[in-house]
Amino acid sequence: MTEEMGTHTDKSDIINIPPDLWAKAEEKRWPLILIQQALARKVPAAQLHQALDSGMTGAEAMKMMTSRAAEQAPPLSMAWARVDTERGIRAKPGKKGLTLDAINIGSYGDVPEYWPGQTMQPRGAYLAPGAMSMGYSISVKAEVWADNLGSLYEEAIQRHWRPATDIPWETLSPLPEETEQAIGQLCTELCEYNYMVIVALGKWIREICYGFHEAKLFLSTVLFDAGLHLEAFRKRALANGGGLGVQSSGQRLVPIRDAQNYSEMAALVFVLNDSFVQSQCLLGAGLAQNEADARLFSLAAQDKGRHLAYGLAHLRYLLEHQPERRGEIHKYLQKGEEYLVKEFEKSAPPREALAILLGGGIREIGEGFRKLKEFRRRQVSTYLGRLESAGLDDHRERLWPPMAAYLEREPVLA
Amino acid sequence: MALDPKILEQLRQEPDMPELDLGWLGAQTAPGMAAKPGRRGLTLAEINVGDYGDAPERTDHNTIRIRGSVPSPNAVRIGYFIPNKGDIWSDNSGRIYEEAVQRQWSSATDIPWDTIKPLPDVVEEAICQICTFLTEVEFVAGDAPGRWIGQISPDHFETVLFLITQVVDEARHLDVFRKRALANGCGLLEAGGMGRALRNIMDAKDFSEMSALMHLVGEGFVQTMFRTGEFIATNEAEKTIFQLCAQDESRHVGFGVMHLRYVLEHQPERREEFHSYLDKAEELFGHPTSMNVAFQESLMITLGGGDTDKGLVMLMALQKKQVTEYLHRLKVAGMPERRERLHPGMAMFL
Ligand SMILES: [Fe+2]
Ligand SMILES: [Fe+2]
Repeated sequence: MTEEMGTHTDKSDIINIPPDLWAKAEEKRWPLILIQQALARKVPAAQLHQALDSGMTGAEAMKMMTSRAAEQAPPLSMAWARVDTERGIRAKPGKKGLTLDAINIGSYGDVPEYWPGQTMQPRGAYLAPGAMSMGYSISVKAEVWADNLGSLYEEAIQRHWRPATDIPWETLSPLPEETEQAIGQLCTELCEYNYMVIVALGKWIREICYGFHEAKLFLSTVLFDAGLHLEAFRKRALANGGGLGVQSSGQRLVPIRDAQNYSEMAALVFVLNDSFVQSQCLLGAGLAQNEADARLFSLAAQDKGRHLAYGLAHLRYLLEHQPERRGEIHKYLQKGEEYLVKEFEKSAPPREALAILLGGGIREIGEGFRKLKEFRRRQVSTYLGRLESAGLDDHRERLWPPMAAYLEREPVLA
Repeated sequence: MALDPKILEQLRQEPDMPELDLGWLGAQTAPGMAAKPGRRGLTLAEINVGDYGDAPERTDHNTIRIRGSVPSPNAVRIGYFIPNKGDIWSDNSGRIYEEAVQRQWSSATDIPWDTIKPLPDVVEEAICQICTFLTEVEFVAGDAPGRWIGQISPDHFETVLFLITQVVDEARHLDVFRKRALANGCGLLEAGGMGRALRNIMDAKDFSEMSALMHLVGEGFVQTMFRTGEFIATNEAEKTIFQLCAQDESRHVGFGVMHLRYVLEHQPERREEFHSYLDKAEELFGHPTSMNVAFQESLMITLGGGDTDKGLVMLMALQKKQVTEYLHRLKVAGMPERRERLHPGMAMFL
């Protein structure tokens, strides 16, 4: 018998089915568990051979076996119940129900700095020898951790919304053609960004080992949110006579696509890009001319708030536990900033669409551009404020220069 | 409609006006599209109209171009997406997706945790062993789709949306079984009993192989077990857990069935290939190296309510039901001949 059998006790104790008996059982189509149970009940192997040869079916054998008076103790090994794991755990639901944090009791709540296993062993369970590797590669806690993962996970589930029914779509009414198309353009870019997040998380979630299941769980909700946003913004573009806009150059997506480690991806998505995307959603809500748009953009902004809360808490945790990586994180952010500015400056549709919306129509696009400058300034300054709150207060001096240029105010004319 | 050139000219004349392009105005593939919400709100079915609704048979742009948006010649490539629709498609993903979004539940607040009362040690241990097993295996069904999500083109985004709901469903499953194990005085027990079957899912090099092993075999069997959960459950909380999980699993299995059907209809030459995947999965059943004693014994205890003889009979009945339903699903998918080709290790249960 091989190692993969998967019980920790001497396996031969439990299912030592002699090979010839096993072969015969398979030939006669008897479930092996019947043989195992019979042997556990001290039925001699020879008698089982006889029964098999007699043409008795598995079902008949089972009937015979289980109709005997059960005078002995149950013929179960129960070895699995004797494993050395922590017992006596009685998590109690609190005000928010039985949450992930509420079950982090005793050894079950100890999240080690390094998780050595690549199997699916749940934290706190006994792992039978012989379990196979599933190839998880992220085993250093600081690489993915944040102290708010558990509460953000539960919050994500509680605040889940349904684009089909939670948006009052019927409140959409015809808008000036260019305004509607500008919204469609904005939605197109938001769909693209969310698709990139989906691709990135698809790649990274499965790398996280089981010891940090809170990270796996929370990121699953982020993935779900990205799907919802993709769905919701697509629906918005197609619901009011505009349609989807022009595909963007995708420059801002490049650094996310290319991230070589999880923390790099997390800094780019959950700190830099989400910060800019959230401002944009808030702007969308502020400029909304109907209830549907207002609700859609504010719900999206609320989700983004959760993703940011994780991104910033993760960044703080990383800097505290691996301070030597500070310079590296600056570089990732700079690269992200460089590509983001490239997208803002080199491609006309996103810029012009925002200017139309900010100005309040195509004829006011000039005014829109002036407001866009102020909007960009606020976006950058909000982003810097967030970095400071996460402990990266020295990024201001390292901001990618063309992005830093957004911070300059227009000279006030005398 | 494109912008009136006269307006553009006027705008360009304005002082301090940055360079204007505005060529994107009016470039839309199908403007005038105004989808209206139906009985179930504004669903994907409502917006899948005209050009926007056509998922192409083949896609090869490898960029993140949202289906129906205007292609941009300078867009960066993101990676290699699976080009053939048939390789990843299922006609029910949009509908399943909408259903999944509507039916999300919370393990923290939707389970009546207060109905859990102290149980005899052996029963509590058996429940905790079942939960250990399930919390361990559930998320493989989250890890596996994750790997494929990044390989599916935005032209076929409906499949991606469905797979995402599966990931989040499995997250809840991992989470709810862990919560149950830690709620009533015992704890987690023995893990590691399912090696090969789960590795097979992770090892799959083809989407349809993954789907066959995971959706049809693995989750099919889990689904049948969840649906008999009322016999395993010892209280309302556990009953609710099994019911809610079963509801989720039926979507996952449903995708697998319809994907197989789509493949068989559009790529009939792949029938034998599918059989080979099923051979690979089935041979593990009844194979001594994959016998999970901890799981089987704990099921015997819970199903028999402490009477292991009764438990054995019920376990055999459950396994028979699992195989029967599995064959039924394959029949629905267009593979009725599987019954004759069932691996002896699995046919044993019939
Ligand atoms: Fe599941
Ligand atoms: Fe599932």
